[in-house]
Amino acid sequence: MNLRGIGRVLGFLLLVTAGALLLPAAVDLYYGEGDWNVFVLAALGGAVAGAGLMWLGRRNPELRHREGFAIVSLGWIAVGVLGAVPFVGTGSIPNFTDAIFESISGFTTTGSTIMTDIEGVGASHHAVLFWRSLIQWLGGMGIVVLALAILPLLGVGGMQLFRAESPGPSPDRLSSRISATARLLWGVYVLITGLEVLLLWLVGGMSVFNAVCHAFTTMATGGFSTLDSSVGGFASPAVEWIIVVFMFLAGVNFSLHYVALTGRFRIYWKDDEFRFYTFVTLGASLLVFGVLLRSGLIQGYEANIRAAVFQVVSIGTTTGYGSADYALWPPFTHTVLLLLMAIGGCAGSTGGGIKMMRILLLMKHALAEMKKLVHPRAVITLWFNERAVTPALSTNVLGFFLLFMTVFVAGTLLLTLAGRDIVTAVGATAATLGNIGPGLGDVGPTCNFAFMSGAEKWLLVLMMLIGRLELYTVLVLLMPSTWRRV
Amino acid sequence: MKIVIVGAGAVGDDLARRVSLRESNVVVIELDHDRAVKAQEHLDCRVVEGNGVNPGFLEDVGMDNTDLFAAVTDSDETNIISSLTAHRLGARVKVARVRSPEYYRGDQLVFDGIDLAINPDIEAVRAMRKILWESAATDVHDFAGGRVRVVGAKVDDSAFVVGKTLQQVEKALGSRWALVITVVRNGETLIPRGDTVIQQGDQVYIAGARGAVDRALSYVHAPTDRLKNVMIVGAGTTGLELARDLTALGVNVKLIDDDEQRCRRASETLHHVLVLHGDGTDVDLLVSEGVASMDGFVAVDRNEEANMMACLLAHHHGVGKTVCQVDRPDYVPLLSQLGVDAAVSPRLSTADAIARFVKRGGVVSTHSLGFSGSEILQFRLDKRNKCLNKPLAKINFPRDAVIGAVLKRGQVVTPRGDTILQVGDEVVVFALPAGAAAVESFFSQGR
Repeated sequence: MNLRGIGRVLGFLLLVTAGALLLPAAVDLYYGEGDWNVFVLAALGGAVAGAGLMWLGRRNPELRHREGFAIVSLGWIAVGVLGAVPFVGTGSIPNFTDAIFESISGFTTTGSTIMTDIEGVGASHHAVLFWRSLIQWLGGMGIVVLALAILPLLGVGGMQLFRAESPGPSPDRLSSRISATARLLWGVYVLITGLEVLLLWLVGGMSVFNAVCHAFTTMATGGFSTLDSSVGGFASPAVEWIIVVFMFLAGVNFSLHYVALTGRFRIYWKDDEFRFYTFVTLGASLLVFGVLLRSGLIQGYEANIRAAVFQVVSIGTTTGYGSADYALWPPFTHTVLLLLMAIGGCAGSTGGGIKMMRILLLMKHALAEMKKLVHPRAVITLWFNERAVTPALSTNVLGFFLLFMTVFVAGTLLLTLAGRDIVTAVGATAATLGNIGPGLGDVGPTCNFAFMSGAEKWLLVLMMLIGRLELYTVLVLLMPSTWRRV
Repeated sequence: MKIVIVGAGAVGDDLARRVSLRESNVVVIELDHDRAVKAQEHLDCRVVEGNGVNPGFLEDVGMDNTDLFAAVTDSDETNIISSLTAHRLGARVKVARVRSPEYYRGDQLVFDGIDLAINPDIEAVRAMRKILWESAATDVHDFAGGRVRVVGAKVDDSAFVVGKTLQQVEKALGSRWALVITVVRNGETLIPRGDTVIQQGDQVYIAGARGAVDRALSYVHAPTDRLKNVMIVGAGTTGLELARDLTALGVNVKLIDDDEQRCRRASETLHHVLVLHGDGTDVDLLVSEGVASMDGFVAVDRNEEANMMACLLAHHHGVGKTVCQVDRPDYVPLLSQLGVDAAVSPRLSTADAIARFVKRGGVVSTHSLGFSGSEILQFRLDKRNKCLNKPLAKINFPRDAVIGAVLKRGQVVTPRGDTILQVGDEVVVFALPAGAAAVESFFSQGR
């Protein structure tokens, strides 16, 4: 392990985050609530630490495979800690564990919160809520990808870093240079986010502040809201429909958006994963809508459709906004939503979970096994997007699924050990490991995670990181051989 | 006309044998001593031992007076470099046998200076596709952009024409019938006359306008169902290409090969094909994969004997149509007697394609028919021909040959005794081996 080399990149990540901290400081100056000094101090602290680390590692630029994992995992932790400082500093979240929970939940785009009175905080600390949304937005496309986009200094091993952070089994290269690819992805991300801000502000009638905050957390599939009752609090069908559309877009592979923006719109329908994603979303919406309509909980067809589609897309893309309290809905809808939590968005999107592509490959794998029973001598290759899937990729996907389930079971076991009931334990693990936000039971859509013990919160923080960085990146650091010198 | 052939392997040998029948100045270049000696023994041409890529050596052979240079060794790279060298040294027409698709852009070879690139596998695939698609046909030859067609078909036991003379058939069917230009019976090729009786198991060749031929075919062979399921044995280049081709046409294809590596490659390049790892002559495998319900069965494995066995097994289990890849002419008569419907030889189609390129007096196109050495030739008539402006009955046409169709200003005319040939007409002629030379000199008379 080249520790100094790792330090150099970590330092740069801290510098980037320190730069981001200046934005909420500006917001605070606008509202005149006196929190700006906290943000500026945090930024200074981060900048000094970052510059120091970069200086220490200035002569060790060489990075290899293993360092990539270490940088991304440790980088996310370092950035998470720096992001927690303003919460403590402004006094909006005085407890350190809670602040870390909120910060990591933000960067990993989970959206689980421990804040019990968001609107109360918002009344006197606009900058804090802005920061909460901003860290989700940064974490959505990835802080390391942002660093790669800003500075190609990471040069050697750039692909390692990119792969370690990007969701999905095999990230697409939009350009031969990693830094150019990162810039293109961020460009698309900024563009769509800007469009959503405009729509929420002009069509949805939100204030600029709310429009920006919600656009940030929609496009990141994060789910932090500035209202206690989330998106439902606006009581506006227009806002809900706009957000549904953008959540859906955020759950799509951003490489597809890029290609579509260059004029080739057909690319969407040509993509196996996109078709599968659309099919799953529509199917789940229809199921939830049917059950909801029969239960008679909501009046009116449009309201029923909107509630069903909003919740399915919100949970399916792992955003986690609420427009209604689905805890009161029939149990069948909970099962559908729980399944959606595990599946998550598309590879290369900002969504979490196992990813559509992996589920699709798993299903193809299962079908191939069945085909082998009928034709014992058949030599079968899996196909994805008119291309043969390499055996290496399909074993990778199988391994991922197994590991995901193992981590999921371990998380549930530990939470039940802490005394939680099974529904809450399953819901909380799924919500954090899949980077969704709200779970089931005691951590349902109208509840929060404040009541949990410190140990449980740390466990869930770990789940969020493992989920966001897709298991391998974090878990490989637990293997002793990663740290050996040779 | 001086012709130089590089490589005395299967293709070079066949090509040399065919062109040396007509041309006197044929040179074969072969690197391998034993092969060169063997070629010298049975070929009626000059064989020199040497490296066909070596410019000095080629210069000694004499390139500047060479009219046709054909490089047909087993190595693509040798053929390409050899042809390019010949090009530099002034050979007139250069032909190379190139199999790897990487060297092609579309149908065209990427190298300038080579006039014709022959891909034997692709030639074979085209032939097989035509045969499979024309459900009743054993071989199909198109002329004049597909307007004139010559189709071979085996006479069914319950066919309308069985036991009738050609005169009777013509009387009964009239315009629904077309001209029968040759009949192959027990391995012997005959030119039929009005009193020839068609027998069951005969292979008849019908010529005429495309639609008319297809219509006439239904009286020879009961039409089979549309091609839906095809089984292919052998996942080599030919097998892969054919499978890709048929899948694109909407056919369900099962591909069998006994080499695991080749199976894996096949399944990674062909999406909708079921690839099976096993022996093509393994009856259990064939039966459990439903060979009986196949509309077509094609064996294109490296091993010719295995191909034949596989086809026989498939025939035995009732496959509608079996096509076998064989390169040894000795096997072909056996195949039709054993019930295999058609034989395709990449080697023969390669030699065929090159021979077609050797333009001789008025010949537009040639196709060799099966392995008997019979040919179908297409001629365009110019004003110097002696046969012009006379009814066909009076032109004293060579024996051992027959006119299959006449093209007058793009219209296909069935030749009769009173048909008159004019300048610009094209004729499609069938000739037995003995008659080919006579036909050629007949149409080049007066030049």
